[in-house]
Amino acid sequence: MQASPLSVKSSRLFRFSTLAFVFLAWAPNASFAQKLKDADCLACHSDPTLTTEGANGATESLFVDQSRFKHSVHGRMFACVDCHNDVKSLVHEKPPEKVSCARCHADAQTAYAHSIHAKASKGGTAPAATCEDCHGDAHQIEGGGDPKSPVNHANIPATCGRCHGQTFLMESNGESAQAFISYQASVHGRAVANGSKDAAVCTDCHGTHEILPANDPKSPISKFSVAQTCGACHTDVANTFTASIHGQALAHGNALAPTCTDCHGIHSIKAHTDPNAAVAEQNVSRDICARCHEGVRLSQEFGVPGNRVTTYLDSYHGLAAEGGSVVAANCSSCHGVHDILPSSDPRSTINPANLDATCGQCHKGVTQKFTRTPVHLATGTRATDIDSVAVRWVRLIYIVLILVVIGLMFLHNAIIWRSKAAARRRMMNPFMTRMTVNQRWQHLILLSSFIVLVLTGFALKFPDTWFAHTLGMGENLRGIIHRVAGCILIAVGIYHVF
Amino acid sequence: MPEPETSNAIISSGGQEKFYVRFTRAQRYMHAVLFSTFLGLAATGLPMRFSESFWARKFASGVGGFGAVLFLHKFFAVILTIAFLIHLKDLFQRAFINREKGIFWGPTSMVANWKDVKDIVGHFRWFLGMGPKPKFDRYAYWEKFDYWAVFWGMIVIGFSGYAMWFAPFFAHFLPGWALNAVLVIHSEEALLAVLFIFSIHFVNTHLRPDSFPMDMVIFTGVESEEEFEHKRALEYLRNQAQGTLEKKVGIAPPLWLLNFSKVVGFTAIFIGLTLLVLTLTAYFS
Repeated sequence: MQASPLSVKSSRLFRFSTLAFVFLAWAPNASFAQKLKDADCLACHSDPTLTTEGANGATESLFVDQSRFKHSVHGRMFACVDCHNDVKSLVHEKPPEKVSCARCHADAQTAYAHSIHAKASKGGTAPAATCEDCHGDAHQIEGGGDPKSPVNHANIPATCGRCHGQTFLMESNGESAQAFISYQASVHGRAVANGSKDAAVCTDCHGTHEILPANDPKSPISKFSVAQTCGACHTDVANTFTASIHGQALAHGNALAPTCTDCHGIHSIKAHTDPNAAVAEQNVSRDICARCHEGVRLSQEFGVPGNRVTTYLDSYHGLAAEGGSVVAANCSSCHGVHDILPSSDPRSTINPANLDATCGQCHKGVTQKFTRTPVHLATGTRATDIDSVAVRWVRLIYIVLILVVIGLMFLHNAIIWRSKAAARRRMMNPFMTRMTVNQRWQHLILLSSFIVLVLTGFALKFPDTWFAHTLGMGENLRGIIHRVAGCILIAVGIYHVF
Repeated sequence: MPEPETSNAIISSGGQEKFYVRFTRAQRYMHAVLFSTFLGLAATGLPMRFSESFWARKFASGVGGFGAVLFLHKFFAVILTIAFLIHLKDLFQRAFINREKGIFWGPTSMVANWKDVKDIVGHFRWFLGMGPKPKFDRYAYWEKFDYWAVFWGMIVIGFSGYAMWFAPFFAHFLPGWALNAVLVIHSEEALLAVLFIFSIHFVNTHLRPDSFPMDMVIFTGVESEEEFEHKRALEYLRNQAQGTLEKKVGIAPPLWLLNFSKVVGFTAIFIGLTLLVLTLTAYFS
């Protein structure tokens, strides 16, 4: 953030150069009573090279662009000294005070004083935006309605982005530029960039002067205000959502319930038709619903059944969806989107009375027996409903069947193979010594230590594989066994060489 | 395993050997339809069962997505169903129209009988060196097992498959839990079938020492006298005794048929073993 060009504290150059004017102007003493004209000020300040030494020794311009000032919102209404009212004479021996916007814009100042910008800059923790950082040079300010104004709706992202879009600047102050970068790629950011006048810009959600952090309950982006904030534009959706189980829970102050941003993202909101959106139909079950409805948090806290997504993925719909089908039902196909309600609610899409219609969206001509068939089958041995029990038994029977049939036939074939191969070998050639006892012992030790090395070694290299779990030994034991086997193999090698 | 004497006999007799018909042309075509649709069903079904594995996704994107995979699966299923119905019709005709003797009970039947039990015991006694190798008739016990495994598998997999395909219709007379159970039945029975065909059947009929690397009889329809006598001694001797051996004489398979059969057979085995490896890796990962 720039220091204000008006904060002139000391300037020797300025004093010497104006000394002559001081003496010359001394005679018409009466000019004190007379209001200075803009032309008088601009006699010096229209010079683009007029500078002073700023707060930390930097050169600051004292130039006022005459034509832009005349057309600015202030220039159309006021003369220089209306704001710079401590300048009483052409020769101002001490640098004029910085003009406070609050003198006129008291409401804005009050609002701004509560904002995170004001607190950050007052606390000295980080440079934060002041009036001119957003509104531009006071001499050139245009009304917000002017398309050139930095606070014009279309220009807001660019204005905020001057600070919030700069990765290094934000990170050097312990913040992140990701919010802004995500916004630019979002459905809102792209719409604005493509000329939309309605799509949300920063200030539509965050407010203008009184920007508050999300943990402030008064902030429009606090958890319990988000739906209302989004509802300013998405009114119908917000109304539907408020009536849903999620909206009701939020209304009761339940912070675990999701609000708009929990599913759609915050700055990164993408259209549900975008395959990269978390709410896209191919992602919604896994990326959105699973976050709460998969784990134990909801089931333990509220008694809502858990494992909703794994049980869905094991179902027909889940298998098809996993296969990349976008026709197959995902969570929201049956449960609704913004209007999700528990099955006990007569308005719910999964209320038994509404199931025929809900399933009938895809399955034409379904019967009650079809629609009442559970989708989420309980896993584990504790389930007692007939569907889960039937599926569990079928699976168990088949595992046994596979093991028995394949195992016995495999054994059978292995024995045949061995017998026949042995018979053939006996017939083809009589026995001759090829390997001595000593050699065979060496080979036995070699192969057994090698197998142990492979098993214990790969268990370290691939700790997540099934056989590492099958091995089941602790890291300490594994290391010892691996080293012992290694020593044995080396010993055999040395013995073989000598 | 050829006896040394007969091996020499083949060499000395040169190309003079007789060939006997084991499978009719219709049976061979039936087997061709059966194994090509089975490979097709396995190749399209396994990617759907293990849809999260990388090869399943590669395969699906190769043929135009999982929708196309499912379409092909149903296509093969319909063909196999037709083949199965034709087989049932043949059986019905042979048994009840032609009154063929011994189709259910007899030495040439596919139905298991007491001799099969004795053969199993005898086979194991021979493995352990406790007795002579049993002599087999037209179908050995493991061949009957192969046949009935496939027969049963087609009924179970077929029925559960159609129950999923036309679930709303089947819901009229199946209980609700069955709609969920058929998915598990279909995929587990199919897994059993895939493992069975690609490991047991391949080994039983093709990779076993007697036939290694491949038994050509299902492709050519004929086997040599030496093979016939050795593998199915009882059938050979019975026909010899009844004087019906000459009726079974067929023509020696032409070279092109042998080569063609080898290409087809090895392709099928290669696809099968590939699918077996992929299945096992997907199952255990």
